Amino acid sequence: MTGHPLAAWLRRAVGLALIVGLLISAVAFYRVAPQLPRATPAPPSNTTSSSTATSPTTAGPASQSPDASPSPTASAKRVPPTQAEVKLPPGPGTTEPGILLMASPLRDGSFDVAELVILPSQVRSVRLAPPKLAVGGKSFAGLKPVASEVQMSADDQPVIVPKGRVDSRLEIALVEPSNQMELRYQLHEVTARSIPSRAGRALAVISPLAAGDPSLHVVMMVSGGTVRNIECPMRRGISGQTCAAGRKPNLRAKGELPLSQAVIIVQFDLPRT
Amino acid sequence: MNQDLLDLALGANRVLTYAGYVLLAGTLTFWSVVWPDGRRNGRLVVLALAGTAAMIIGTLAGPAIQLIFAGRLLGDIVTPLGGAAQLARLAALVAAMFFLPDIISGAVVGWRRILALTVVLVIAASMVAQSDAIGGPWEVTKIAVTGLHVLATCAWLGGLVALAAVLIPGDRVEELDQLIPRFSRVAMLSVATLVVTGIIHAVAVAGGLSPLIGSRYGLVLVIKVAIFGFMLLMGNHGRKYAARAAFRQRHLVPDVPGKNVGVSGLAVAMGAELCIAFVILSTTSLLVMVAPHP
Repeated sequence: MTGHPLAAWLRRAVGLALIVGLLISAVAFYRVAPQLPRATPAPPSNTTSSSTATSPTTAGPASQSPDASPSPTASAKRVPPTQAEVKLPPGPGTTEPGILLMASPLRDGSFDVAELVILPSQVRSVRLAPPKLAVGGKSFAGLKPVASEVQMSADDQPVIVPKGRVDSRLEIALVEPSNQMELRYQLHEVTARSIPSRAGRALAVISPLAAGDPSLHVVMMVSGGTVRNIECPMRRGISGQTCAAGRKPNLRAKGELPLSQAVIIVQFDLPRT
Repeated sequence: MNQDLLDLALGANRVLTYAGYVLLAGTLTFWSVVWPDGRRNGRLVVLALAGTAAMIIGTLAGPAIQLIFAGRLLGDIVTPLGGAAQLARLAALVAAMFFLPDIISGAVVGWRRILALTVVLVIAASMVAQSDAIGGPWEVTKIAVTGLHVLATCAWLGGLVALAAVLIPGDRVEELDQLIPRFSRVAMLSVATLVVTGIIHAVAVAGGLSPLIGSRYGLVLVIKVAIFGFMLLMGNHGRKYAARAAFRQRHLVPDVPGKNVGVSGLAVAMGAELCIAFVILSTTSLLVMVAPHP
């Protein structure tokens, strides 16, 4: 089994060289891995500059100030507040299991949305699904909601969403098990003109993209000077109509909604130009 | 490659890796703990080499499948700890491959036993580093129970494969008396460890008893436990059968000269047990894929 002594020594020497090389590679990999090329940018926690790129593969998380109402002359899109800019409320999605959804209307009537998700336990895949508009009524008939430029990270590691687009139920496999995720995306085809109403008034149906355990608690915030009101159509009676809390431009749905009822209708004004 | 095919390929690769681990680590543990003199058995050497090859292929193919067929970038599919663990595992596999002649150059005791068990420990640690034990709540507990679970798996399943490889030919009845009691002690300890660590791990991963009961993960786990229980019954039956066969071989004259009925029966029982073991490995691979959904 051991053969000629010289061959045995040669075998051991080659084996040792390979082992040492692999162990050095392991240490080196551990150090350089964070700089390896990724299809999606580095996690949002260390990126605060705004990006002008729009490709889902290159765009960083938007981080412009959300406090001002949209200026008719401004060319930049408004974006939702980020962790780096606003103090996030403790509760679902930030300090306990649940989802914190932050949305802000864009000039074209679509919404820029950030979702912070904390799950009760680690998972290996996540289900994403666009909002169901039926709850909004006939005004939304014919619209096909789609989330585009979807960026996702799990435990600060980027996760690829095919084509950066979610227009139907989608199962996303995670490379490593995780219970903490963040999603950034633009939500299109969720807005309908409010008729009859004041010119420019619109309604939008928003719900979390992250689907799953219906009992998960959700906090939903909408910011922007053009936002007028928030309704919770899944809540019955007057509490569904008077769902908004907080002060403009930062409104939120009152209390926490179970994921199965986490749908809001945002009333807002579209810009004139 | 579409997502279903990709999942299938990754699942198959996971089964290959687990099987390789059971063969290599199990055989090394078998030599170290149950039968140090078994180093001369050519079948065990083949098992160890086959396990090494399967693990090397599985370790390299996992990222390769995702790089080539899913078009993903390395930074997206390998975490720093996971990548380093895979390279450390490859180092352990190279050690197993290049130093196996030294390990089995004498009875697997002393430094040979230390070397063999070190290889097992490094491979097991690399598997834990890539598992869902890392991160989240109860991390230390999960790492500890996953490590023990992985080690108990190789000692039990790997030992079972090694025992089958030694005994199934039917011409080694004299070794039955020696090996089966030793292996039974190891198997009992391993099974107890598997049950305890399995329960703790499942509850920790699911986030509590209630989420575990209501999830797909819990359902697949119940199926795995049922198969596991069936395998225990089969194993118990096989061991009793083997003990009776050994007794007959030693003390009674066979009815048909030249025909070793007892050991053939043992072969059937162990063969069935090994088939169930493979199903358990496949179920474990499935469990990884259906871990709790949000």
